Amino acid sequence: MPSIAVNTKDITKEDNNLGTPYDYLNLMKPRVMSLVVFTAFVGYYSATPLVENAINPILALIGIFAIALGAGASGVLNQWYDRDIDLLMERTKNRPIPSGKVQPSEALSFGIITSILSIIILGLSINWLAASLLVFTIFFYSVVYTIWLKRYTVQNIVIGGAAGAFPPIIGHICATGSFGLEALILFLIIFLWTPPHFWALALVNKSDYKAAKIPMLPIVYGDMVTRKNIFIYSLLLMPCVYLPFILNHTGIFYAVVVTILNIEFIRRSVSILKANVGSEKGLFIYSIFYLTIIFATICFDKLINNYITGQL
Amino acid sequence: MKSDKNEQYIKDFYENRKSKNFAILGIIIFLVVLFFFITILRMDITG
Repeated sequence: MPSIAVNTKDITKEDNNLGTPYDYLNLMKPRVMSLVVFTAFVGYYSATPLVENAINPILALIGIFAIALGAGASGVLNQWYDRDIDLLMERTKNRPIPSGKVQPSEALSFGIITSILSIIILGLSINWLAASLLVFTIFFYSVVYTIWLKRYTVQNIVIGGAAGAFPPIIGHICATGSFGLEALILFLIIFLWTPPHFWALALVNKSDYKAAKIPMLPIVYGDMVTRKNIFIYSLLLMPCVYLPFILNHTGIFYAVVVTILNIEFIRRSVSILKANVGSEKGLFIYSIFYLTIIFATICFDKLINNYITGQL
Repeated sequence: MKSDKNEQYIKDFYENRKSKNFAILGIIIFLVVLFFFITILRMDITG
């Protein structure tokens, strides 16, 4: 490694390698962040008619920004810890740390600072209960999932899925200041949606997970067990997405949309069970569409309801 | 030749450090403005 002495400090190639703002943005997993922002917003918006004095919309926006920052910070800490296995997988080897664009120490500092900032911003702008849950979510994703579960148990994404399911609850607390059934249902939907989504991805990228020695279901128990589990979790998910309608949180429009989405989800799950060619990737992509449309429909349904009741 | 390369390293190092300092300054200003707005909005002075 060439090094030269300038002002008594050695400058090496690593010192020059600071990474661009784009690299730091990538470190925050922007696609995951956008899903977190969206689900948190739905949690917030679906709760707004429940309170007499809704919080200032600009404060709500700052709160959503803080949640996004917290999600990004979790992503940074996850990529910092997983830098060794990311290098072994095709899908992740070009991430900023394994590709050498950002130094691990820089990433760790960035992750810790953004975590603290997100918690302070959420606590000051909204309330400290929401901030406390954000602390727990960051801890759950960065420590419980990334460090304790991911490399050691086949149930990694089942339990770890809770981390991705917390944002609607945080959004709900932002609007109401307390926990609520509406948010718990949204939590349950994301929690049960996660296993079919990630196991479909694991079937597609099996060789990657095998190379990194991550105990995903297809690696440990094989394809057939994974396909059966995807089907079982899909069956468990189907009735849960009706809960907002059954409990009168949404109207008939939501029920109709969910029925159409469910039929296609089950068709794709059966296709996976039959091991049809391309069914795994198909379900993975469809599951993203499925969750997005369900949450968007909850919002749209609430919008219509607010319009009818004159709250808009 | 090697000296030119070393000079380039030094130049890059100072340029990178300058950009990083500006980025941090930008973030500090952003946070000052953000916390100012949070304080004002939380005071609910509009009514």
